[in-house]
Amino acid sequence: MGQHKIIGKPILRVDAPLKVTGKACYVDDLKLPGMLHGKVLRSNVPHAVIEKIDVSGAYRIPEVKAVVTGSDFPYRHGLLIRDEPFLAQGRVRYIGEAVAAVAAANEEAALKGADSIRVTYKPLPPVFDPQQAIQAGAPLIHEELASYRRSEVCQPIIDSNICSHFKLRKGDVEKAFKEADYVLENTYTTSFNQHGALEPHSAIALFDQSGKITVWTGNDGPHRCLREIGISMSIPFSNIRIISAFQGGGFGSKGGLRAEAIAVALASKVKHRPVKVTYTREEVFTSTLLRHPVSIRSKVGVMKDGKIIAKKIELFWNTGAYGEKGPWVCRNASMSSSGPYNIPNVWIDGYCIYTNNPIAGPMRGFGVPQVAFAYESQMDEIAHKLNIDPLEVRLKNVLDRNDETAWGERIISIGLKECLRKVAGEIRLSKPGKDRNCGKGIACMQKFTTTLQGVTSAIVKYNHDGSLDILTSSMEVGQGVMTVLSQFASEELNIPLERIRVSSADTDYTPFDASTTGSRSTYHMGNAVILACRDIKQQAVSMASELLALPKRELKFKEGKVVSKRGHEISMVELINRYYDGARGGGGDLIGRATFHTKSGTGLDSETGRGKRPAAFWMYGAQAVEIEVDRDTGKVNIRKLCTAHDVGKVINPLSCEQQMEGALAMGIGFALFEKVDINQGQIMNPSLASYSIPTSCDLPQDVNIFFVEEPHPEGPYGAKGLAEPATAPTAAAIANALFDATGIRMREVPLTPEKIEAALRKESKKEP
Amino acid sequence: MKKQVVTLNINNENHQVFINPNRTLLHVLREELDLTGTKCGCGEGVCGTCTILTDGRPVRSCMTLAVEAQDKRIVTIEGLQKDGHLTPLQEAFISEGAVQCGFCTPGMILAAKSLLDENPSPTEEEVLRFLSGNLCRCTGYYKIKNAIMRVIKERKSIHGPA
Repeated sequence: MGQHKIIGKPILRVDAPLKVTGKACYVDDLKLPGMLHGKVLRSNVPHAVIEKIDVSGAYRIPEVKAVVTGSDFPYRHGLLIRDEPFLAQGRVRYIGEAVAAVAAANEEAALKGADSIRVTYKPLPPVFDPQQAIQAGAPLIHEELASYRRSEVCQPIIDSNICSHFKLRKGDVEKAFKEADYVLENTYTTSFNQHGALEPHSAIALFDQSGKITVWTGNDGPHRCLREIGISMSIPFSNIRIISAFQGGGFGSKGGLRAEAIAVALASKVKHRPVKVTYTREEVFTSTLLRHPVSIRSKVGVMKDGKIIAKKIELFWNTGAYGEKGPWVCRNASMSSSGPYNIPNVWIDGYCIYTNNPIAGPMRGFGVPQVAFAYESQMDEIAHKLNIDPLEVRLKNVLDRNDETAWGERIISIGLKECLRKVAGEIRLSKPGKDRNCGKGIACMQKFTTTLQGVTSAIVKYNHDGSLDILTSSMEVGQGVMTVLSQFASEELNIPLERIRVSSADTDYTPFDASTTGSRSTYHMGNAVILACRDIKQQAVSMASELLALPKRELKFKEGKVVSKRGHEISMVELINRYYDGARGGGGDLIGRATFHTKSGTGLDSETGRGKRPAAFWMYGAQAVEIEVDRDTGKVNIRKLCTAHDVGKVINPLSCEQQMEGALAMGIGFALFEKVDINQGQIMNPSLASYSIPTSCDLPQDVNIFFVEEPHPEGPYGAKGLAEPATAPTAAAIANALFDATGIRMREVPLTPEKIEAALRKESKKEP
Repeated sequence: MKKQVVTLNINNENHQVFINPNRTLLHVLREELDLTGTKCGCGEGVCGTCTILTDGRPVRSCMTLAVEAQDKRIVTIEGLQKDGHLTPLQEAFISEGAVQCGFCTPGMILAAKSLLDENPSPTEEEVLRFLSGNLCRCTGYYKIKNAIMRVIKERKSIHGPA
């Protein structure tokens, strides 16, 4: 491969100038003519039948234009299982569920209107704990479960609270446990987290005179959002338009229909006027999404030399009141829960369980931070049991190219061994810490990208002044997709970056793409944009052939021009203008288009969890930390952190570092302190004051990031994705370092000072 | 509650608004004056996305009543550029890669400006401590800190050691 001009360079972000000047537009910044404001009355009980809703009080407020309840707007949505009403229909299933909404001329009136609605509830017995929810006799949260439309990803168990059951069966685990030299069994648990994107959820909806519904939103999947509205309401997709704005962070919380559902329901009642619904921070906590807590029971059989021969894992995912993407999180994370290891016998049961808690969904890592905490903590438990070095036990088992995974896929690209060796070397894992309060730990991870959702298309428009428009439905969610797509087009067509403009998504004009999730855009949309640029090159050669009366085989596209073997050359601007008669004042553009349809997406067998190529690519990474524990307070101080990731190819080192730094900060929050505290279905800390996300003082300053470039044969210039992985190994690396320092094994995150201090106290009492 | 006329000096321009006295400065900036560069991340004074400067000091505009700001000089992100040129802080945020989703960026830049106006050469530790009042979920703060340190370094190289 020749030297690239733009690929691999630390190109500055193309969206940054707008963002440092306050000009970048987010949904709540929009003000449309005649716009109304919507507010929501939410359930204050976890599980109840709605006996009566009295909305008359709201209509007594003059500025109130409309009130909507579930009976006025009787639709349900849900990407994987259509179980969630836009507004509660006859029953509420969690505290924070929308019961009624009010549109008014201003926010105060809307709020007053919502407050004056009276609801009579008849309480039903709630269930909050997922393992209690699956016991016989537990209150059923969705009696209609069997009747819900669902995708094959979702495998419910009818007449239970199991929204989805994922199974993976490989080999014979029971036989292998008998043959194993040692069998260990441990349970690991995690807590509810919240994404904490700084921008609260916001949407504006309009039903216009032509019958079209337009929604302005920062949703992470504009076409998916359109599809969900269309299917839910049984209206043609052409009657719906999603216009996106910059998204102020989402991390998984801005998919599906959240504020969109309320805005659409209200807009249906106030025809021809737009309605804006912006959530308060409290609503973001109670009524968008949380990260699933999961309890993971893992039994592992190992030989004396450290080789793992069997794993049997049961995972209980607390998905809250509605499915959302829970079945997917359960499937994708459960399937990878035996870790990036070559294990001949694997048995996995993942249960996605309804409870009367707020809804859980994907959050940076799609369940992988939770399962990685379990499998990587257990790796060190094995290492300790067998008295083998933690790095060695990993290297002995870790997947290599051509190995077969638990789900039956042959690995085509993996650079994990190099990642492990790199971070272990950097942290000097085998050398003891500075003193008895210091410890070192290592952990690694695997995660697949979002696949199985259809194609990814792009349109690239070469204008006759030499500028270029890239039209895609990828969302700029902060990850830098506008920059990376510009880089691909610039490299392919030899156009300076400042002449390239990347559109924001507008489903009327930008072609289909399922979503900007699961670290997928560089790979999927990158490929689509590159193919669209190559379409332009082909067309340019055909046009030049006609214009110059030369056979196509004698022409080629080179450095932004079409050149012939005989020395002719014609620039793209000249070509387009001459071809379209631009010299006489006309004009035109050259439109390249492409659809990238990945060869993957085979799905998984619902009985065995096996599939030959369920994802386009897998991401791998390893992290190592050195920590210091304050034995009086239990506080962990991370002295040094190293993270190494196999990204296939670094397209932009600056952007790659940005993603890594943000992801590991989120990993540290997950590991050490983030916990949405829910008591009887009520969030006790629905505020950024009481739910702490990392501040600038909470993060280690000695951080080293390494990229391993094991090219993916189908990736754009070899690239894979990288937005999520660094969040995943942190918690286990810290827990392992804590064990190294103190001999105490913590199997529940977050590893708060209180818990550590209590464990240390208990331990010191044991000592004589 | 009776509406009243409030005069605000924002980015060196006087604005008159007719508002309820319980209106926050944030509301007036965004809803009355369309200065939407100032963001609302929590509305309860925690996240720092609504940070603006009044008389040079960083203020949470969601916790400030517009009437309280009447005789003060208010600076928002829209008022930072001089003659269309970005300030060194804005430039450094771009070149150091301190911007991701951008929602915290305006507040972050104004907070950083107030720090550097008060103390032209803070240490890295002082910068981190100061920034702890402004939340960012995307960056881990590393490149934000780098951007601020770069401005400090560039100033020193122009003006010599303080």
